[in-house]
Amino acid sequence: MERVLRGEEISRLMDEACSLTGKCFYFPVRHHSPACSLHLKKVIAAYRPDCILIEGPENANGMIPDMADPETQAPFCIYYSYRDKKGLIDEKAEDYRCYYPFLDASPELVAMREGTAIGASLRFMDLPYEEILIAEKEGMGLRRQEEKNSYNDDRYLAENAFISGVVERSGLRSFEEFWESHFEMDGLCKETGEFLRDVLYYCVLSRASTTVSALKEDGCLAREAYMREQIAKAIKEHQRILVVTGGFHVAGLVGPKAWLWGQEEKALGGDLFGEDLPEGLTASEPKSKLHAIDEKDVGTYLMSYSMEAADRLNGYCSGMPHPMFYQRIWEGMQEDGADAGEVYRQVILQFLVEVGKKVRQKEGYPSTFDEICAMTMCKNLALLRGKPFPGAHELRDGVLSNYVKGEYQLATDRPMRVLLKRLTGNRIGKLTKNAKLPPLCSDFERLCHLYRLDVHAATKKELTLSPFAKKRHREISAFLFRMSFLGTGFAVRKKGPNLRLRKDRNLIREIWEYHYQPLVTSSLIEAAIYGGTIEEACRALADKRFQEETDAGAASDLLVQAFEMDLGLERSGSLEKLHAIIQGSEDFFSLTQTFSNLLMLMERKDLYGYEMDLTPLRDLVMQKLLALLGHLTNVKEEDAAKVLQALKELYRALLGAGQEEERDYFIDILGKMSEAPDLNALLAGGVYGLLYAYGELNAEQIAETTRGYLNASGEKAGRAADFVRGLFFVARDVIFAWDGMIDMLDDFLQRTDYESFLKVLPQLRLAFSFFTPAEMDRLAEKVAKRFGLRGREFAQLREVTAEEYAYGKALEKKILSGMEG
Amino acid sequence: MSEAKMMRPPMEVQYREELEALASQDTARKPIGWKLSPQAVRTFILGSKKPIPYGDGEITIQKKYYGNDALIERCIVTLAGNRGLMLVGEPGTAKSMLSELLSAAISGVSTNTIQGTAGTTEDMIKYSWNYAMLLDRGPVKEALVPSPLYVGMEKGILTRFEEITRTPAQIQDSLISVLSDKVLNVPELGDGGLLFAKQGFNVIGTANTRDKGVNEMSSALKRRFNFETVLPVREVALEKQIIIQEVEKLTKENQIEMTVDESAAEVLATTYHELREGTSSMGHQIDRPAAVMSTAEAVSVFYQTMMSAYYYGDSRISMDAMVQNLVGAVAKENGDDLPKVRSYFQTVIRDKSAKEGGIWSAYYEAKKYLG
Repeated sequence: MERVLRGEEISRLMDEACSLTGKCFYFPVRHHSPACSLHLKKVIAAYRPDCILIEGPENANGMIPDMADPETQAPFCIYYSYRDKKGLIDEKAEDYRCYYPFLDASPELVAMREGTAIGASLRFMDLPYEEILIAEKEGMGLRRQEEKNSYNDDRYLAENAFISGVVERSGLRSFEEFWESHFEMDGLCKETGEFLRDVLYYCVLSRASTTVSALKEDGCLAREAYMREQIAKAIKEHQRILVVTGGFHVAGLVGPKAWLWGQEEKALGGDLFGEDLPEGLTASEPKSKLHAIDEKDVGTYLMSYSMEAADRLNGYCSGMPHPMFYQRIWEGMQEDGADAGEVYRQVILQFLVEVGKKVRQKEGYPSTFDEICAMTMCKNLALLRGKPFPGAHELRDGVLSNYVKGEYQLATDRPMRVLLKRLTGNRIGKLTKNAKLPPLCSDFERLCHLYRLDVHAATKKELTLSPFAKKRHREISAFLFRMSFLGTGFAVRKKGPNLRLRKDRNLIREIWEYHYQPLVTSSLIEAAIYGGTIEEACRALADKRFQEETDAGAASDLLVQAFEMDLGLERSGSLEKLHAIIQGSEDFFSLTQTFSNLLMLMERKDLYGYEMDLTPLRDLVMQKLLALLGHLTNVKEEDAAKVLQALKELYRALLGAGQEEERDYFIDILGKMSEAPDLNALLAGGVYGLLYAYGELNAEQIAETTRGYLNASGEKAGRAADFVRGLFFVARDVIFAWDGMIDMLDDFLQRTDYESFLKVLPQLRLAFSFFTPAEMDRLAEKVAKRFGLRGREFAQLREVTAEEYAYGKALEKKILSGMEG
Repeated sequence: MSEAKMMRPPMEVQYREELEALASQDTARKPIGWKLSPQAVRTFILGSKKPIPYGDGEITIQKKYYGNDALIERCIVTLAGNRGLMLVGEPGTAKSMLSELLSAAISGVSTNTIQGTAGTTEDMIKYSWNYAMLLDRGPVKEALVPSPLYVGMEKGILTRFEEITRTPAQIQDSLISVLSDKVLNVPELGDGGLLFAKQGFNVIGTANTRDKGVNEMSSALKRRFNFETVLPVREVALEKQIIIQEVEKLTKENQIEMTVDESAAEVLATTYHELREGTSSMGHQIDRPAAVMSTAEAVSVFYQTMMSAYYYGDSRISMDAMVQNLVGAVAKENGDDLPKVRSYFQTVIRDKSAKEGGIWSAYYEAKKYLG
């Protein structure tokens, strides 16, 4: 590497790329870097370009005026989406999306703002988003499987053999520390020419450590070829062109093509200015050919972004870490004659004081003296590390050493958590009113207007709906459910029937809280790929999720959501898909969940005015459940309650006319289960209870089995309460049908010692929780009668304290022994 | 005692040449009372690839501490400031070694040490008396027996306080006023009884967070220290390197002429690493033993295995001996640990033996010693 990339060659590249008198000035940047932005501002002032070409997909060219508009506040981003309907990327024909975030300190944004101020023509010069995707190999570049793909990814600069070596040699911890030390801090103290030389040097060497195949696979070479064409076009039309591009690409854009290709595996393996091209590569390159793509499949919009999303540390690999730290550096450097060292020191002090104050409110420390010590430590660490002044890394060290008291662990790491959160910042951008929005956003506004929802309020608004009484309220409720389903954060239901959690299903009103914030629009822009109206987007998203789902329970949850959102799924493929999932499922618990959801939806469909016929699905699940049930005698403790619930629901479902055959089959299975030697006690209670309910067993037979459990020995003795719980869960009336049951339970309690009683108490409490208040009164009366009291007297009894009980027990024992003696 | 007879010479003796070389080349500013500049202290601990001139030749400064370089820098800067330095962490994470290295480099002496125990008293921390002289001459300076803390203040050097949390909390607190006012009062000496600390004085404490019988430090004392948490080594390769380096040092000191078997070191480093982390490199979930699985323990197991091979065997390290020593190291605290190690062998080592063969198979065969 050293052999081919000599200093003079970099100097020649520098002369060619960064000459203020040249036709074209190539400015290498790192995204979100304040140092790059500050030098870029100087270059724009000195070079006065009449055209600025910025690295970025050209789909967003029309949005440059909106981005440079003073009303638009960073952070914001360009959102690109593409539906590969034609399968140009691959046969999967999927949807793609990516983000291109901008902060105030982003050189690209500075170029747009400054360029607008001097009246330069501004353009993005990269391939359109969809073409970049087509040029990339699967899993590379913007086709990586990540939560959020970011266009301005500087992985090239951060991850290669060259940078690992440099970081190790310089004794620094990471690429980020290296960049901060050498470019952000040193860079601010240098003349622009010197700074650019350093950045170029670094970027060219990084490029030399990257292989040609890697560049080809992630579409880098195709993009650069297109960018070169755009530059050539601009050179014909303009006098002075400023090209603002990631530093890594400069060597790929400037001058002879020989710079691009290596003789061997390296991207710059050959002589920088060598004439020899590797075999198969010719000096004249073909013009980039773009595909014919339907405009409807491509979406490009501006949207608000948050500092949190822009933080490199959150894994999106765009720009720098700690965006708020560098935002403050950028703001500090805007003043005339600002001294970089002083700005850094002031920003660090500001963070130390803010974090100190915040932590002190809860923990009582750190003291002002801690803050002084931390500041001193930051300065001294910078000296020890040979840095011109302290930066973000010293700030982190200062807080770690001085604010964290005791061993660094979850209980003591609050100062670091507060610091990291503040370094990220919570600022959210705002767009100009002129910014183009997708039809989905207009539909949202139309519906808010139609339903008279106040989207201009500064605080949260509350809304009470009676969806079962008023059609309009049902519509509003469905709209709010749809907004939640799209993940917009617009509305939250505070109260009301919760069908998915099976809670509060008796409620007839819904109370919602809603609040419009810029991020709602951002989420809608992200969802715009699914359709032009809220309903259409929800339906498409629900369909997509159905198609991806493999678990029957989760798919039926999705059906419940569709029900809440009032999405008619009859005509979509969702129900067929659900049918197929159920057909393939062998998971009893997942099927139970499905069964339960289907029964609930069938019960409530009139209430919600839902037309869909779910009977075939229910019958299918039932058959599957009956087939699986017989094997579930010895289930784990935690699963027994679920099986019990399933048994009860099957019983309810099979009560109707025309189901005699299934009912007989169910009874048959219950009979077999009751004979299984390893039957779980809780389940046994349920099975016997159901057999009693079907009239297969009478109260006497139930009593006999119960007696068996209550009088059991050894380990089974503790299971008696489980059995009673299972029994009462499905057939609590047995206690009224046969009085002997109360006597038996009373005997059992009399015989149980204190320790054992404590063990069975929770299960017994649960067992008696299934009775209604009226039944409890009836039961109490029966118990009272057993002790020679009347119901009213029983209610007047006062609670006996543990001491009184113990005294009474001891007294009884003494009297009995005295009597015996 | 001459150096040759010492079992374990202090750091300033062990690395005398390096320290002299660094001092002779040190042009950076030194805090008052320091023998070396902060930069040179950093180089002494983290090493330098480039040799520096020494005498007629040159010397390469060895890397002595592996792990977090930034932690070393924070330690150095803390010691040059107003606060004491408290190194906390699990046993066997080289806290004491680090404290010795810092003292040797900064003050030229690492033996000015208080050894904290449950029986440590305030006398041992501050000062006590030569009672014969006290009775004879009354409370005079000559009759005072200075403690390491007293010596540190008097000479302007670092005082090390080992295992501070083993000392009862009220005894620990006797440090509070000394650390804030940098003055020690000896009331028995009357007006002349105030000892003002000289520049260069500071305290490095070490505290263990996992052992039984440790006393929590008071908030007042905590405030007077900067805490640095020393974590166990997170990479197997680094752990292997440390084992090899430390064992080589021990064999040299004890004149054992045997080369360190690197593959055996790797086996042991992997075992310790995986048992500590609770997952294997092949993805098995492992029950973690309660015993301390530190790198220092691994060094000791490896060294013992080498010694048995040297004195009782054919100078070749045997997996049987290694497993036996491993049992001894793991089973000392908790009876439940041995089954965990056994199950580790029956799953992870079995699979490694099937995949890699060679030494791993021999290691797996030795599982019979796990009982």
